[in-house]
Amino acid sequence: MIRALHIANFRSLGGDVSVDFSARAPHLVVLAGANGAGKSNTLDAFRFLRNAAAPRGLTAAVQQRGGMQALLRHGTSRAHFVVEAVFGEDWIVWGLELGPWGVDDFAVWDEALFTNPVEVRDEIHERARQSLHAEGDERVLEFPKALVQALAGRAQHEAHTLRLRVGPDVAESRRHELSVTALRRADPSSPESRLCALLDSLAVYSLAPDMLRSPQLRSAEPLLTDHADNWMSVLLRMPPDDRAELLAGLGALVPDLVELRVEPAGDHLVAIFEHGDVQGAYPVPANRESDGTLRTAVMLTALLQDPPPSLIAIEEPELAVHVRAMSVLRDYILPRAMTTPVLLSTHSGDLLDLLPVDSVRVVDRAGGQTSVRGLSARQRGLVDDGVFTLGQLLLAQPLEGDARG
Amino acid sequence: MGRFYVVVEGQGEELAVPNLLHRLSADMGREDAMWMVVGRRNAMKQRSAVEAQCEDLRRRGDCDGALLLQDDEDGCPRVDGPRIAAWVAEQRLPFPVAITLLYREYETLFLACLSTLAGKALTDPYGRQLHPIDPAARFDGDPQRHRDAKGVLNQFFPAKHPYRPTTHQLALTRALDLEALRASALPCFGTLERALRFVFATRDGGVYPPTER
Repeated sequence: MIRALHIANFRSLGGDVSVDFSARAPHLVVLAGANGAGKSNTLDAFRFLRNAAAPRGLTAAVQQRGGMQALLRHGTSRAHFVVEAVFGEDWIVWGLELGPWGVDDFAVWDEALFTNPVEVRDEIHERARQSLHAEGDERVLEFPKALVQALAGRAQHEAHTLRLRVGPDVAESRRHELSVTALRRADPSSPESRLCALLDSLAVYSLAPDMLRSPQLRSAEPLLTDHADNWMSVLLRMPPDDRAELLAGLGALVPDLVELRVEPAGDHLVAIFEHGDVQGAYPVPANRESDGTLRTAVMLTALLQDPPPSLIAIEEPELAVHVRAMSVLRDYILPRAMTTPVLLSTHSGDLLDLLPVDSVRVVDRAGGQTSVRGLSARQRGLVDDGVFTLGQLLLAQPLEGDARG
Repeated sequence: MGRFYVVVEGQGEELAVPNLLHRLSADMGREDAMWMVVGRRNAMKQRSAVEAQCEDLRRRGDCDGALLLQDDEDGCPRVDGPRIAAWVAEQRLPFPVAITLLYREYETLFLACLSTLAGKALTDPYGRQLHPIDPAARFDGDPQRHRDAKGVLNQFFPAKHPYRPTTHQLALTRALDLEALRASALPCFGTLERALRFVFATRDGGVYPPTER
């Protein structure tokens, strides 16, 4: 299970941005912050790593974001990523450093994979934090880099913990590739295979109703894609029990909905929502269904996937959904987060009021840098003491991140 | 016929609570009592929210009595109940108002008589069949001690069909055995029944629980 992603200098993100899922369920993180604060960039970091892990994917992932200079935060020269995953007692950490190469090229400047017992995690984190506050040359500005250095220091004594270390002096042919994907083995339990499987199935959903209205080509892609352009195929394969769960949730929003089915139309598929009234059921094809019903149907499909992705991230789930139906979303988000990490971004105070306060992270942008932090102790106290609900607080004043990080 | 209003917390309770109140009212000989949800608030521990709710009830002009039903999760109903009641009393409403704080949440009622709900057929608010609670489900111990009653209930549902308040609260409320709930001696259920008796027995303004003077 993914435990954390640490990011530095990717798009607007500062040197110490972490999305850290609790070891205890629910494994839920909710990003809240103003427009332009960097919520979408934080979500895009997950999508970037998934794209990069595909065969020859790194170059495409960089190009899709406008090239290396556009990918880097203004004034910086390296982007850093560290993925932490925990499988039982094993703590797997993969670090990636990217930067420009020559005038308009880029290179993997560092890539490392470590395996350690999970019990050393806190100690290594502490050591990495110390180097952020060190004096002079010892000081490291980016937390992901500090974490890799702390792990490399441990690896000098515990040599078996280092699985991979690749720098910029590798052969030119490898400069645009992730080495961890090349090390993927037939044994699915190897750290490399586990990490790659995790990266492959990071799901980050940005759902626009118009994308869901048109007939869709049949797709064998097992997971629902980022924009749900294979939603009808996923729905078609969904076991009847899961489909019943989906219908129960949709039914709470749209009480006259009696069935949701998928019909072939040539080599395309069409979703049909069957509504009922006193005269019987009548079909409503997806192109005539409401925005909120379509988006909710897809979000519930995403949350009910079995097997689930390694992460389910949904950008602004509240869009087009009636404010009084937020509790239906909550009822599908929380059970999924008991076993699968779920990451949301939201502007909805009504949704925030239904989710655990501990899951909320404040996304803020100051001095051109995005930070992601827990709620400040002062604002947390206001919520705990019942002075404001989190939603009321969101309206009353800007959310404040905890200065301690 | 009496027209009574109730303020609840969540969407599931919006459907479930009227069912529970109609049944309890009938047990008290008030089959004529019509219970309607007047609002969903999760901020009733704030004075301003309570005052706004009271004003809304007053302006309706047809209220014979009202109940504010809220979860008290980590609070203390013996302290919180009288405090909210005092805020309500200051509004001098011309009809009785009772405050009932469920300690710790609505699902605590289900835990208190879980064995009588186990295996019962359940349907969602729209008539669709739901998976029943594991027929072997039992809960021994004090339901009020558990902070996460929803989580405990969830253990007795199939993993792929978890407990979801919006679909299960009404279904389980319909299946509630009220005698078993009374026999469980769950304090907040006792408070709820006393609150209803107060609302039915009081002709003019008055607040339950009594406020300290």
